[in-house]
Amino acid sequence: MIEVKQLTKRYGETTAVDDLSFTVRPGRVTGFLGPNGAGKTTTLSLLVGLSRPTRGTATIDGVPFDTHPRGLRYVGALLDARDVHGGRTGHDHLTALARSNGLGCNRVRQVLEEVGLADVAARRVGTYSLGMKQRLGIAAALLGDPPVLLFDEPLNGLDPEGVRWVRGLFHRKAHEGRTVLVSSHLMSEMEHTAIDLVVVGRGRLIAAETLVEFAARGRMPSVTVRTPDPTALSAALAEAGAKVTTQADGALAVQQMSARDIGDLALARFIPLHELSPQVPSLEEAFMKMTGGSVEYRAGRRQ
Amino acid sequence: MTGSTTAAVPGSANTGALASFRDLLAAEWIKFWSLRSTTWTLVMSGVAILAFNGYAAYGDYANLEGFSAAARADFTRYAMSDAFTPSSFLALMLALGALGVNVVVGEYSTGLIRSTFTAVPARGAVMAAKLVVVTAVSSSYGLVVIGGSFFATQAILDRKDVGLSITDPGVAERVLASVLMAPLAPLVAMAVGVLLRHSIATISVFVVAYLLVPISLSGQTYATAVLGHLTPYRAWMRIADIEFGSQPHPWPVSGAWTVCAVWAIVAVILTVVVVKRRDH
Ligand SMILES: Nc1ncnc2c1ncn2[C@@H]1O[C@H](COP(=O)(O)OP(=O)(O)OP(=O)(O)O)[C@@H](O)[C@H]1O
Ligand SMILES: [Mg+2]
Repeated sequence: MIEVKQLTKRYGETTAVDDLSFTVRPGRVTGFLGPNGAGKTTTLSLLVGLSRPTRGTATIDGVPFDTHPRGLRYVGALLDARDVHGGRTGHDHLTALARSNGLGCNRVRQVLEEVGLADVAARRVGTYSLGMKQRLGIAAALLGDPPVLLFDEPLNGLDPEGVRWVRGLFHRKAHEGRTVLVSSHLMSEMEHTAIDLVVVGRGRLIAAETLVEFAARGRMPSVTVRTPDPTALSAALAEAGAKVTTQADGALAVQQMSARDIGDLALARFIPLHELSPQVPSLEEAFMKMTGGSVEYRAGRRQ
Repeated sequence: MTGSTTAAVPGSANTGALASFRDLLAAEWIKFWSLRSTTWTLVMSGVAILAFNGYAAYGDYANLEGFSAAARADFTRYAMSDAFTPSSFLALMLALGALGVNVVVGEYSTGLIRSTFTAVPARGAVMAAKLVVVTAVSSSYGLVVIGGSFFATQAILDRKDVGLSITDPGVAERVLASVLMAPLAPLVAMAVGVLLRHSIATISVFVVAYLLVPISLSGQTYATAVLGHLTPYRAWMRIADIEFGSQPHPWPVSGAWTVCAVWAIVAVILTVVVVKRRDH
């Protein structure tokens, strides 16, 4: 359980995190979403005590994280995959981390197996690809088998196979009852990953709800309908209270009426239907609509 | 949380503070030796120091007859200087200073420090463990290389009966001061590294403060002499008693020891304290 309360972090003139409050519950993957510069990384480093809040609190399982002298058994965090020394082997890097927390060498072997780096563990990290470094960072986060996992943009640099594996891992860890918080600036990455969402923009909270609820904000659900007699159908639908717009290709976009009701209505009026397809609201669209006003670095905008 | 996680936490509650500090030492020990440059730096500089000093001792041995009577009477000073020449001081300071810088700045410049402090939120303890590891390694190195250098050079000089024995009065203290220059250099380098967090800046400031300033300060005027006395380099020369030429502003050996101790203590405190009060 992660609790962020009225969290504010200022760097000089910049307010990176602005009066942010949200809760992350265990047992499900929570996406932490926001455009570039929204304050995601700042919030995560406040959570793990790497920086101190200007105001407010960030607690994990009821206490500030840095009250633990050793952290790996409480929180596993991957803030930036490049936070390693390129001169050491992956194995040495993990062994030092494990040792500092009193964890044995068999844990190192286990996590190396789990992330699929066992074969390259004897190589220096400087020779790893970004994707391999991501895996190494994930391995480090898993070392202490912690109940809370934090990942900052963990999908960066992973190939499709790697993305699928990471998603599977997040789901497994969440299913075991852990709290899993995953940040991203791409809505599409969250689509098959998260159940809950915390959306921020310019350091402020925009939404904290389930992904399904968030998606519904994007656009009213609509149904695409094709018929040889659009005029008659439009009139019938409008009469029944639906909102109908004709699209460029002649199809009708119907809002405020379900596909079932549209089908029943068409049958009652003997109007043939060639297509009747509900449109799933687009998450990307919801995200753009919700964060549009708070994008920090819009293309073309003068700084 | 599920039972599986609790089961994977072996007795974390009853692990003593001492035991867990030992874990930090082990971790820092692994980090220290797992960089290839470490061994390399230690071996190369050790060989260089022994070579510099052996060469100096051999020169004095070969030219002994050329020394004036006054110089012969005061030969202890030359013998001490051969045991640990100023150029080998330079080599020692650069090599061990670089190791100290590496231990600290190597973490900051790569970002590793953030992984380290997330794994161990007790930042002061991490730095303390680094200090202990570096001090242990550099002290051992000092004993072997500087101690070895003393015995080797004096053996060379003794072939003409002018070598010193460690049991001669005052010699042990002077050799000890030379040996302790080994741990002092990396301690100071680590403190500078924690303050600056950037390798080139750290090395530059360290070399200027530790070597260039003391070398360039003249001992002839009172103000520069006193400033010079505040540096480990001059303090070491004072204790080892290898200051040649006139010293119009003499100072006691105890003062020189105090200067070294203060540098060490301030370096340790800075290294441990600065990391606690900073964002990473
Ligand atoms: N150490 C710092 N000093 C000054 N400003 C900072 C610092 N760290 C972050 N900021 C500023 O705080 C804001 C939030 O940055 P942050 O890195 O948290 O965003 P983010 O949501 O992680 O973005 P991204 O998706 O690009 O990773 C930005 O405007 C950034 O410039
Ligand atoms: Mg970020």
